[in-house]
Amino acid sequence: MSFLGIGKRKKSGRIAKERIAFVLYSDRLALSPKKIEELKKDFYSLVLKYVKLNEEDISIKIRREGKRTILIAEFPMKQN
Amino acid sequence: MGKSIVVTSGKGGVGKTTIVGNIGTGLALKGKRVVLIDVDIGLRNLDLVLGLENRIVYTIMDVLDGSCKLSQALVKDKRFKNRLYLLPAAQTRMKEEIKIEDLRDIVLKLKKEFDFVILDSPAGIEHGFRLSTLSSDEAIVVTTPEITAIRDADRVIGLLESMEIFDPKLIINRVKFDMVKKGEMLDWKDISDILSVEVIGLVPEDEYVTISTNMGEPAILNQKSPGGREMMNIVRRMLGEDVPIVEEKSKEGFLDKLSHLFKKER
Repeated sequence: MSFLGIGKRKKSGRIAKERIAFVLYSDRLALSPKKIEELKKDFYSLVLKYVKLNEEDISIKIRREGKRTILIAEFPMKQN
Repeated sequence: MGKSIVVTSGKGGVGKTTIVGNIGTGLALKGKRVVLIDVDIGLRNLDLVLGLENRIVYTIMDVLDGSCKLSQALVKDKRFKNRLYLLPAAQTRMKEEIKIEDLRDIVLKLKKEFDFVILDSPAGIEHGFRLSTLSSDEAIVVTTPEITAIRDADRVIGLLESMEIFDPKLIINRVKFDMVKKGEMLDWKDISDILSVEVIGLVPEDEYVTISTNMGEPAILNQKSPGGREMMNIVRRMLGEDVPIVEEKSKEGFLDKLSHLFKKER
C-alpha cells in the first residue's frame, strides 16, 4: 500500500545509487573489493608508524578531474 | 573545417543509433551540413532510422576497397536538399577489415566538406569502438538510467580519456519521469555526479520514438512528441545555445494525486 505513503521500503533509486557508486569505485581502481580492503590495511600500517589512526575510518576514493584521475585516501586521526 | 563527433555507449540497446539519426537530422534542420557514418559494420541500422535503406548503392567498404569514390557512397537525404548525408556500413563484412588510419583519412576528407561528421559507434569497446573514437574530435556518451548502462558508460568515459578525448557529453535516454519522481529510478543529477560528466540531453521514454523508427522518419521531425522536442534541445545545446535541462512533468494518475494529498497531510 505504498501509494498511501505508509510503505517504508527503501526506494530502489537510492539502492541503485549506492550500488553503482561502489562498483564504479572498484572498477576505476581496477581492484576487487577484497583488494581494496587489503590496500586500506597496508595504508593503515604504513601511516601508523608515524601517526595514531583509527583503521576503520580510512576511506579511499577515486575522483576524475579533467585529464587526471586521482586516488584520495583519508586518514582521520585518533582523538585523544 | 568541420568537427567529428563519436556517439558511443559501451552497452548495446541504449539508443545510440536513434540518437545519431535524430541529432543529424536536427543539425540539418538548423542549416548545418552533416554527414553520418555508420561504423557498425556487419550490423548496420542507421539507414533504417533515417528511412534510407532502399537508397544504398555503395558502402564505406567499397570506398576503402577503391571500388567507388567517397562522394558516390554518400546517400543524400532528399528531405534536406544537400545538408544531410549517410555513409552506410557494409552488412556482409567485418569491422576488423577496416584500418584506423583509413577511416581517419575518410573522416578528414569529410570534415573539409561538412560542418559535422557524426560517427555511430558499435556497442562494445573493441575494434569498432576504437575505430570510431580514434577518428573523432569529441564524444557523446549515451546511457539509460539503469546501473548496467551507467557502469558501461563509466568504462567508456575512462577509455575515451586514455584516447585523449576529454570532457565527453552525456545523453540520458529513455527516462521515465514518473518513476524518478517516485524514487524508483536514478535522477539525472545523480547520474551526472556519479560519472562526473556534463549532461546535454535528458530524453524521456516516448512511444513516438518507436513509431518514428517504424516509419523511417526521425522523431525530431515531430516537435509535438516529447522525445522529438528533447532531441531538438540537444541539437541547440550542441550549437552553443543555453537551453536548460528540465525534467518533464509526467502526467499524474488519480492514485498519484491521492498519494500526494495524503503525504502532505501526514
